[in-house]
Amino acid sequence: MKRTDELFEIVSDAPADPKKDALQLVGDPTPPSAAPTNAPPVRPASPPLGRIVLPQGAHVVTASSLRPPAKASEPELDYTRSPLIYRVTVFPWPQRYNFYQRFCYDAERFFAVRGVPTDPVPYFSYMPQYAQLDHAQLSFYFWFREQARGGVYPDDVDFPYILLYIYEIINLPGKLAPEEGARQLAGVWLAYRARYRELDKYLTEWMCDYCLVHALPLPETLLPLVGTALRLASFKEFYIASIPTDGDASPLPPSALIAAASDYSYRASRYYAGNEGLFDELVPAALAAALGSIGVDPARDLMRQAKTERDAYCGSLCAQTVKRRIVLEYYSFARSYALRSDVTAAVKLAENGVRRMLRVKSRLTVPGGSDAVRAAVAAFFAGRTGAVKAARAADAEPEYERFYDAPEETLDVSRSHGIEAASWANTELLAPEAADEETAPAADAPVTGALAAPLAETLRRLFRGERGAVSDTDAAAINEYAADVLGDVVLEHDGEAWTLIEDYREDVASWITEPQN
Amino acid sequence: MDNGASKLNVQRVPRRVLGALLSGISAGVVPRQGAPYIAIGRVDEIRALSDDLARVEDGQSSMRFLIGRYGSGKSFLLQLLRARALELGFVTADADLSPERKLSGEGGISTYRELARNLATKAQPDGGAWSVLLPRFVRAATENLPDTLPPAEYRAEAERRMRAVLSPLTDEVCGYDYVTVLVRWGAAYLDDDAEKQSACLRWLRGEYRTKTDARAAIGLRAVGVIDDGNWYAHLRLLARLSRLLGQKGLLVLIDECVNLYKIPNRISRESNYEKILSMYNDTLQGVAEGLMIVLGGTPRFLEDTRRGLFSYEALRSRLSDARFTAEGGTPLKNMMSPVIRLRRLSDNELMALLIRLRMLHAQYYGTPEALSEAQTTGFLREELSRAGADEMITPREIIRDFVTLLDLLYQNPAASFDEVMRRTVEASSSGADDDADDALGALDAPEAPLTPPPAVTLDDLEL
Repeated sequence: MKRTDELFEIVSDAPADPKKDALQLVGDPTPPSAAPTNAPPVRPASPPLGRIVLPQGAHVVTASSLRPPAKASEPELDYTRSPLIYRVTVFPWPQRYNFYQRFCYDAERFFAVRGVPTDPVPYFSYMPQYAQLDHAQLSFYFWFREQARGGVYPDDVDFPYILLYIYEIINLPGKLAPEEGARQLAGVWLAYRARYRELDKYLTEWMCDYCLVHALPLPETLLPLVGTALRLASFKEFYIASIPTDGDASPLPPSALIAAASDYSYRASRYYAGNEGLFDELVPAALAAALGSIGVDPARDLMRQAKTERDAYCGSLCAQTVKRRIVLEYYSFARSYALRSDVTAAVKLAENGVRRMLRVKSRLTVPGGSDAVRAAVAAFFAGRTGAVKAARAADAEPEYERFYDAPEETLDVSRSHGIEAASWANTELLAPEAADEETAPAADAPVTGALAAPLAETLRRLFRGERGAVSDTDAAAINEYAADVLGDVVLEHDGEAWTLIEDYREDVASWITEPQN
Repeated sequence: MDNGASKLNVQRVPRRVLGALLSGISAGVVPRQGAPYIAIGRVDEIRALSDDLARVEDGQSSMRFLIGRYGSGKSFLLQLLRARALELGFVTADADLSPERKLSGEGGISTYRELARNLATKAQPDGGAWSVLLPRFVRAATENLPDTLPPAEYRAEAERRMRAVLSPLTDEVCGYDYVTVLVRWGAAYLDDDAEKQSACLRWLRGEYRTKTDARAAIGLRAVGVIDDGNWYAHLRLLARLSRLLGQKGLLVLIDECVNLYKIPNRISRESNYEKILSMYNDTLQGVAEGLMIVLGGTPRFLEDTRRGLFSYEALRSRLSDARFTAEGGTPLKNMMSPVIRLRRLSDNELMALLIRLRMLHAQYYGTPEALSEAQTTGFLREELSRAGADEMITPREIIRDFVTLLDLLYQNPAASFDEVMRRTVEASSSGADDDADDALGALDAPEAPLTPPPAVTLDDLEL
């Protein structure tokens, strides 16, 4: 496979410098100083496939221009970043390796190359490097980079091109001012994070490293991503410290505190979907109210001093000359049990409050947290439950509920009397004996129906006090007769025998004293 | 203030029935007796259900879903239907579902036991009708059987005839065992063997858990038991048996079906819905005979597409009629559908209900009606104006408050309407169970603050 510089003719629009031009066109990785001065330039064996124009003033350097590694034990940089991260010490990388030197060499050589409009070309690689690109891919990469540097981010760009661009920024601190590098990293992150979700994971760490190594603040354009970064970052305090503070107010917004110091994420709750607004508004507010009411400034009162080391640019393509070991001394969220306990408890209690408003019966168990936090969260929700519950109930009423609403009409007493009178038709249908005067006499009216003589005799025996005088069959017949006549049964079983219901003693007496028919 | 026709009718309510009615509704429960006397509105629904009873009387089957919000009158309508069915000569069985009582799985047999326990006829309306029903087939079999036969011969011939009477049941699933146990009960009845009768009755009520227990108690070697898997088949057998015994059919009322909606496990929930589907298919395809099933539940139980009946596609496609009845404007009534949706009573219907209650209360206590038209209207307006009344107030609560108010006025003749009503409403708002007692106690307490004299008092009424 031919090298890129063998495929392209690289020219500069800068004034001719025979010595430099020779170096540019040779494409020889060997440092010029090491090359024999009388050696003829090695030109591509075949005609170039394209032309890459260098801008005026640009130059292509060789591997010899890379910085030599410093001593690993001597810090390159030692500074105070913020009250939270009070000491950052940056050391050179202690182990030597050179397997990315070729990448750095190519990156520096192509740094000033200007791209020309080119159609997108597919490209895939887990660890993209210039040497893997053919001329079409390289042309497109330069065109993409050209636009990205200008703040224009084309849509149809394969992920490896973006990684390559990021690696180039990371590995060229000598060519690219760190502030500009941070700006470009932020730009590409913001532009492509929606399409390539893995960018959040990678750049959360690499941006942190880049800013720490170069003692830079987090670009302001990335502040909206702090919440995301806090969830993903291994060193959350970097992003916490990057949040602008407002005078003497607490430097920790509740949402940041939740992301950094809560063991429980309310966004993972099964009830979060569909109620995002309610959760995002009330849980941080409840936490702020809780911490405020108990007079706790998390940054001052609850965090513990900590010291840690991190390897810069883990997982990225990074030459040894660029890679660093960073020693951090800071106030830790992660290592403060009291803070995590209180914040976690407050978040869970707040979610329970939101659940109550949503009429969800299940509750989270909250083992930790001080009594003061519990009381403060309870007080926060005490005044809100009713209003939100009613509002949500109205919002949540399903469509089918309207089938069960009452018809809309005004109260009219005369109409009510009409309904009441008409409803006796119901009674007539359901209890005909009550409405039919001919066949259904009143409870206190004389009986006109017939009771069979044997049944009447049975009732007489019952009247004489003979327990067990009535068989099941006779009781059924008597009760059916009574239901027809009175609308109710007259015998009931007390568990041992059939007895007469006292309310109807007079009625039954009239049946058995008067001859039937 | 009285309607003449109403007064005439109200005089006919048996006092015992009226007492049970008033005590039931003042306690917030549906009365077992007397419900027809307070059946206001719902004319179409009552007629549709009555028509179903007529069809079942002809040997067909029916299934209905009574759907309405809590307190909208589902249970009340079920009781009305039950009373009507008893009146017509049906056997009825009713049960409320609960977390332990379901239609499928381990809860199925519990529901069957409850239904069997509540088996009722006109002569035995409070349940336990087995003792009234079963002797009938024995009488039918032994009719015209000469008493002169030797005992052994008499008994063998009686058993042969009993099998002949019950033979239609043997065609059904589980029919052979059912008939065998019934004949065994008949033999014990003839022998006056109470222990054996009781054992057979326990079998019929599904109270044996194992075949071993059942066989030992009944004395039959090859008989199964009624369990979670076959209880519905035995319900169908009971429906056919009831017709063989001269009844019109079997009415099964299952209320509180929202408990099925509340089953958390999807597989278990759908298993219950499958049971409903098989009931639905049996009754409406004509497989079952003389069986009417009515399920009562809330709108969520039916219409929730996530957990309700409509989450089960086979039922949704059978029961959903919203396409024509729901489109645009006021939903249309459709009483031909298996689903009867109970809308909340209108304000005028509620007022009519209060007028009826006022009359019944006066009749029961033999006093003039305690409230004027204006006071009754004022009471209703007060109830409907309570916070959240549009969503939360139900006829049940209004009736309870109103009867409580009437009771208090009856017991405290010196108290004014305005004062008692205020206390009644406040007490019921507090949600305590002993609202009435509290309110009454407060009335007796001399230090209780009183409102200024109202414009209308009891003394102003024409007594």
